[in-house]
Amino acid sequence: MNNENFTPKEKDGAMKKRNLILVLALAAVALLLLFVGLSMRKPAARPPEAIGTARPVDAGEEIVAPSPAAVEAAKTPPSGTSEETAAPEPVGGVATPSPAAIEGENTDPTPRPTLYPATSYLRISTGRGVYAPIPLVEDGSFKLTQGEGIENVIHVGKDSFYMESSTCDNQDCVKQGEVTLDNIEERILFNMVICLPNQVTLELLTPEEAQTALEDMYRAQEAYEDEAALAAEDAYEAQ
Amino acid sequence: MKRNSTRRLTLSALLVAVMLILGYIESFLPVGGVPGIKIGLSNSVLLLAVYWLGIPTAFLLMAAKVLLSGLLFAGVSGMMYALAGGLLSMIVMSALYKVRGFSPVVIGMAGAVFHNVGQVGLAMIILQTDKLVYYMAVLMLIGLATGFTTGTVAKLLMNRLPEELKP
Repeated sequence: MNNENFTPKEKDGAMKKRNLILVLALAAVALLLLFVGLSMRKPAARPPEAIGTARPVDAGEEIVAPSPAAVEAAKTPPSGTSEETAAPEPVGGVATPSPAAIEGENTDPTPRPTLYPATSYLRISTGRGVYAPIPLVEDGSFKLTQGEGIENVIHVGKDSFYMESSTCDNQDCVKQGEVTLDNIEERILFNMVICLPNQVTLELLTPEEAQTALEDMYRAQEAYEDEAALAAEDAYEAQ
Repeated sequence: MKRNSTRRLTLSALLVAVMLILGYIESFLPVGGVPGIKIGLSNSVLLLAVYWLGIPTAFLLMAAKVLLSGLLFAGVSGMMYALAGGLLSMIVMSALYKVRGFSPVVIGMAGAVFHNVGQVGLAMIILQTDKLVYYMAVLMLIGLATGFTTGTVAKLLMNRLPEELKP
């Protein structure tokens, strides 16, 4: 038996109370966070129809080039290359992201961003930046490569996606299963699939969320380009 | 403290070995379909170490376990998360042990809860997202349950293990 940790009998009552209070406090904090977390997750109001119809898009309109919004992350371009099955054309367009942040080679950002019409979108974030939301319109797989054997294969379908394979150790992301518009509420990670070792976050976005996300990206991009332009000027002067 | 250093060393080595094996076995035991959940049987061992070997040694054992199981099974990124969880959990358990008057079962529960908080907290920092709050809350509740298990195991071990083992 251990010495000092077993309090005398008369203190037993106080000890039990203390223990109980601690456990209740922990449970209370957990429950509080549970509610905070639940309230942060606005119920995904399913749009009655594709929002795309609300914002007419020319058939030939290009999907905005994804830009690493995490600005300083531009050292190496996020080299997600579309391959494997012929990814649906919007995916193909997005999966070859231009490292626009590097040279500021992105086109003039004045036109407001528009998304390819769809009922849901996939947003990919990695340690290097955020990709523009990818419309989830038809089946396909593509590979997200982050160099040195860090690869995640993502399968997308109509309003759904899942992590098909990953080079990580624990394969948690693969086990997290499929996200669809209908099962968001039941999933612990809600609309997300997360691969911690490879720092990949996949999120299912409603059209409204996707539009907001895209506009946020544009804002970050513009801010970055302003900075980059200034830096470039400085560099020229230095030469 | 220094009363019997060979015994202490032997017991420490034994406990690290036990934790490594438990950690390995555990990775095959999924808990209720929630990704990334383990029972955390190493927690029992660490709790025992806090009581028997003292807080500084228990921290060293935790570091050794994280390092070795990281090199053997989990990989470097796994090591980072394990360390975040392990450190926070050890800090909380040591503090509660110091305060005294808490039962080992409750200390184990707090340790498990804060282990999960440390891990998800690090994930939130690295991924730059606050959306994991709900996940963290779920893990905290699960931690209460798994911590009850591991705390009880630790208490039983303390009562049942032969006196000769104790340094």
